[in-house]
Amino acid sequence: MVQSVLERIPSADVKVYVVWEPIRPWDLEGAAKKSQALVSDKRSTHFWARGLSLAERFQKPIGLRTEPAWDVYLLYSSGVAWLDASPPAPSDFMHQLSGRLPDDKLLDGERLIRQVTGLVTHARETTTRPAPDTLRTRSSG
Amino acid sequence: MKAGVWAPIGSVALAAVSSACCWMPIVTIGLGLGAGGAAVMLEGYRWVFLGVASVLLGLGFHLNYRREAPCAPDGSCLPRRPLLRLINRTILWGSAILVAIFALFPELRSAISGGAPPNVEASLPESTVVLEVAGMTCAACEAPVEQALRAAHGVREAHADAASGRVTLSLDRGATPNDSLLQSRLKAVGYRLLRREPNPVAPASPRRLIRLSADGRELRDAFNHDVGSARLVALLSPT
Repeated sequence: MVQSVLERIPSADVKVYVVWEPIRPWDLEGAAKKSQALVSDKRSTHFWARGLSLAERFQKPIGLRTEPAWDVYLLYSSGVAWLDASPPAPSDFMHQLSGRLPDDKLLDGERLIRQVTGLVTHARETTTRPAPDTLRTRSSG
Repeated sequence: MKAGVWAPIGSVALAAVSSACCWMPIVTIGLGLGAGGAAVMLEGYRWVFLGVASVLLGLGFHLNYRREAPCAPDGSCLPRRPLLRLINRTILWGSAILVAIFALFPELRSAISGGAPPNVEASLPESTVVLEVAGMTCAACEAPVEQALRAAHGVREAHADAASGRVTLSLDRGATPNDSLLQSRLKAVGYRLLRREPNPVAPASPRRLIRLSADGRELRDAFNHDVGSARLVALLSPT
């Protein structure tokens, strides 16, 4: 899913962090290494969570109470920083935890692409505003 | 010493050696030394441990299952001790299963010792730099820019994005190409380096799997590093 989304959005203004979590007893690091191939895009970074503490920290931002956060996709617009121990609230999110999170946020590939594209556009508008030192460089050149 | 004494000693030694990669980090935690160093050190000797364990295993099976002469030529007979034999064989088979498990599933070491230590090399980010380049006004400009920069010493990969006017360079570990070199490469194909964005530290390439600390700071650092981009965090099970 994530790989196909990235293939549809060629911009460098999107970054993906894939966190592989030990949800099931057989979710070992070796399995995570193999699963990396599912998201091979250069804009992605893969992490292996050795426990569920991070998954638990992501529960609150998405309002998940029943279990640690997994099978969820959190979208963040440019400018959002992670300052506290808890992750920041996402602009939006999608999931595959039917019955445990709102059904209107069930994972939908096309909708996810549209949302990411919207965030990329926002990021471009933000980053293409020339910085003061850039203006100086341009005027002197 | 008789076989009846050697067999349990061998079995216990076998169990201890074959699982040393697992219990030694735990012992070091108890001693306040930290599991990381021991686990890393012992991981390199895993095959030695398994080899020694296999030899001891063979010895244990030999001592436990060899056919013994019921009586010596002088007429003296060994006492039959079925309970001791049962204990020995139970320990032996338990040890054999233990050896097999750790030989086939090395990941269990990290599970038992509370997680492997952070892989320092894997955690080190492969550095990247982001350049703002003047003159990239169309998608067709991207290829020559990428080609020119890839030719620069220390540049592993270049990804140009005409829409933002930015080029992301993945550098070889430890490489620090200077601006004048990059500028000359770009000028050769008709473009100009405006500036190099600050903070050259970037997350690792997708080929690396970064082990997260309990507080997830590696993810947080990468997230904050890319604060100018749209970001997607996917929390997934690998199976």
